[in-house]
Amino acid sequence: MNLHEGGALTSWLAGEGPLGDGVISSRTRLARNLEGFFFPTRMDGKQAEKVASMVVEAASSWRDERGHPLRVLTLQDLTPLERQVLVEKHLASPLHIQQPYGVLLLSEDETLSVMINEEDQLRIQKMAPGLNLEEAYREALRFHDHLKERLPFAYHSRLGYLTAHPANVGTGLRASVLCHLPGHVYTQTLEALLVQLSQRGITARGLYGEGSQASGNLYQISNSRTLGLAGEDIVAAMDQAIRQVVQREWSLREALLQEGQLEDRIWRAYGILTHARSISSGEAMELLSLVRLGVDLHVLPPLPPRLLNQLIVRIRPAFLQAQAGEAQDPLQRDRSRARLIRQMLTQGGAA
Amino acid sequence: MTLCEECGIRPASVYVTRIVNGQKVERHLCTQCALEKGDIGPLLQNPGWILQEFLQALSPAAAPRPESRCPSCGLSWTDFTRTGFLGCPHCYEHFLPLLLPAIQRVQGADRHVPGKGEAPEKSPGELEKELQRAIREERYEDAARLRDAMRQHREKGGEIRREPS
Repeated sequence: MNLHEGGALTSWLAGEGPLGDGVISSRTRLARNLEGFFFPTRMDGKQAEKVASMVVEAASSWRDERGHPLRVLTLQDLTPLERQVLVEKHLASPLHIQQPYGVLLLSEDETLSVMINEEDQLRIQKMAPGLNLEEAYREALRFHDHLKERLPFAYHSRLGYLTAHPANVGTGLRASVLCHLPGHVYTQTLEALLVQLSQRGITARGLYGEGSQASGNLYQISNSRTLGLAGEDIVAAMDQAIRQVVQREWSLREALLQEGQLEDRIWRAYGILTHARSISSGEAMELLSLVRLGVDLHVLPPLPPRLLNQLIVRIRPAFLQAQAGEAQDPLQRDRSRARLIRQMLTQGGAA
Repeated sequence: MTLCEECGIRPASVYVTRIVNGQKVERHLCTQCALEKGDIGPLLQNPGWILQEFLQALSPAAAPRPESRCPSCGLSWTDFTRTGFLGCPHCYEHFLPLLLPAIQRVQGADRHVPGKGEAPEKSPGELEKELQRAIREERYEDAARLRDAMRQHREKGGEIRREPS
């Protein structure tokens, strides 16, 4: 199964969305459960299988804009490497791929994915390139409504949609964006930003955990509250907050550039990435962040935005091995990673 | 019997403790005033109010005891506080008086706001309760409507569990 080709790489990671110079991608996620069944942490295998078959059946009549049905991936039928590729593409969660009864529904372009039997029975996710939460929300809802006509979603007149964890109850909506914030990181204003955001009910975390450098200055920013606001208002508030973050990010970047140290760092990063023969994931992410910054600030010649977005995913360990078609130890992966980056950056145009 | 300091009508079943300038202040309220009027919610956001004390203060008559179990999935309140996960949709109805203040604290709200085009619905448990009430009050047209709503739920595959009375 070629899970490492096409799909996400050419759709929501294509990097042509609004505010693409600050926001890589947008995602909305709706948590839902079925009335009459226990939540996944408490259900047995029989219930989990029944839930999965009900959802698969209800989704079978759905078609995307090009008339394609959803693919049904039974996670335990995939190899560990294929499952890890799904995680690296953010289509399934690390928790989901461990579930014995986990099923993933996936649209042809991989912008719509449905995790079945994760923390909640259903997690409907819709991705869009750049800052486009409104479209992602509208499309997630459209699919949600298709299922709602066919499935009894657990709903309470006071609390709305019921979820395994009360932190998701109500709308069950998590609207998040993946932001590139080197300006905030290099000026040491990120902490202050996080405090400001948290006061507005918004949380941020590094893409792969808390370490900022290891995650290439990429931050996943999302609403923390799911109750007391209508879904569209949560999305609108997030959209407004992110626009302000990106605007501030840009003034920080320009100030940094004027200070004069940035240009050299950017070219050095570009030099290493286009010549290194072996590179770790952490170093690659850090240097790719500088290259992205260099392209955004016109310090470097232009590179297709999709190329840098694809690299975020393509240099991950499972992805590298899937592309190579073989298992690789960490040293081999560092060499494969360096080769891939060299090829992509030099083919991309800047030299 | 102490009466609620808020409404002065219903018996007080909850007391809330607050530390003001080092002084402990207690208020005796009925659950309805405490929860329905949202009196407790904003107070709980104030660090002076201690959720744990509030939870412990809920009288056995007003709320399920921590060791009481959801009649549908068997989860106890103690299980929930250990893992943070509820067991099934019915847990929300069963533990509602205990959950609402906790939800208010985490979410800053305790009531869902439906989105555009989202028709507010009722859970089977709520429909069942309303149906019983409609029958008791001899509102047979309402009862028929509620029965239809419940049937619709069943046809979509949802099983309806009854809370043992």
